[in-house]
Amino acid sequence: MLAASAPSAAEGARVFQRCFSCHSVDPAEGHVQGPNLAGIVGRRAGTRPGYSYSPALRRARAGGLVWTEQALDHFLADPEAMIPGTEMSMPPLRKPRDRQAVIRFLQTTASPR
Amino acid sequence: MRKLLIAAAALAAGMMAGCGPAAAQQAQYFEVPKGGRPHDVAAAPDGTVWYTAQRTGKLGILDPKTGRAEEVPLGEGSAPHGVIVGPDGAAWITDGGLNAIVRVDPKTRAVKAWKLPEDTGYANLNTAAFDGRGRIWFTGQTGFYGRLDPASGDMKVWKAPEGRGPYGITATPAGEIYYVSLAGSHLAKVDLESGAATVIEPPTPDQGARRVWSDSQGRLWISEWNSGQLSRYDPKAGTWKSWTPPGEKPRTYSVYVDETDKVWITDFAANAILRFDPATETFQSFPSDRPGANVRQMLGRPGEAWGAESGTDRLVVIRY
Repeated sequence: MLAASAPSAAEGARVFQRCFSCHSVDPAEGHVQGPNLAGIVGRRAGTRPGYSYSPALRRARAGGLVWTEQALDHFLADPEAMIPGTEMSMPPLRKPRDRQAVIRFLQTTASPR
Repeated sequence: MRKLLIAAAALAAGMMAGCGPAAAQQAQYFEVPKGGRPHDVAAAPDGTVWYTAQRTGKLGILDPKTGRAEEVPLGEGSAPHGVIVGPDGAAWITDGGLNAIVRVDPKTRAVKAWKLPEDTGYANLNTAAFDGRGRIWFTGQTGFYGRLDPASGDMKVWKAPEGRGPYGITATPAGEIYYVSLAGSHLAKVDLESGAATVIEPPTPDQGARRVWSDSQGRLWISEWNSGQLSRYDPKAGTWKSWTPPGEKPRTYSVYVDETDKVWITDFAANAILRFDPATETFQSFPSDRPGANVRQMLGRPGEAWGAESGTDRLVVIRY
């Protein structure tokens, strides 16, 4: 029996349409409603310059949260449960494959210089 | 299956006046089922108040007399954003999770959904308004707006002229439809027949227009997330005017105009609902009694302004 293949970045780009209205991943662009997510994987939370983070995200930053793959997976599964008070109103991404796909896609985005 | 819950209603003792005269109004809070994160509200004709439980995919129905909240599941994958009262007295919902316009019958609780066309893709449906001809217009934040005629089932979706961002939408008393673009920082007027949208640029660049509401004269009031301003556009004169709420770096999220043409806004930075009197150009503040209230929308009926505290799982009403 063949194991299901890991989701591709292209699959993640499609799932990311749910996020696109509030987040850019173009390093040349600024912030939209939410912060620019280019190069977010591995970055400390709440540190993208020029964005006014919510008190909840500022607390997460002070607590040392880093957006590892695991942390992003937890957050996307239930943002409010992981960071109570987050202003991100997106409903949870309940399918693990969708979350893996988005994270894979985010890994392909380049950090701004 | 419907779920009944006894919700506690708490009276807030005394209100604070931010920068206007002392408030005689009182705020009353209603707990609704935990975890739903109520996003939008609508005051229903039968005296109940509807809200979208975005996180749990339900339409909530609160009876303010008893404090009881009932929730109607909207379907697998539902994540409702907006809810309004239709001309048929039903709840009309923009459901981002289902990518559909959803109607809930207030008597039978029957749920009916109109999916967006397959080729539209995911629209991140946001807000809706009826045009006075029985058709519902809606916005999709990924860069769409559209129209559904419930009588025929005909649905049309158009790409927004400047891409992603369509958020709040409103109808004027004459039935004209305007929407605002959060990412595009503009107001747009929609031609009711051709569907063409005409962009109206505000004088403040990058203001982040999030929601829009019409007053009795057809003037458009706009809440600006980025600039923090409350702005008014007069279509007849073609003029703009803006006011900045009190406090440091206001983050103005929602706007609603009541039957007396007072303007209600919510400010995330101040954690407050504010009422603006255009005649005196003053704001009156109604801070929440809990931190992180995050009221994302308001709507009401004569004498009552309702909001949903998405951050505390409560509804709030200010009677005036």
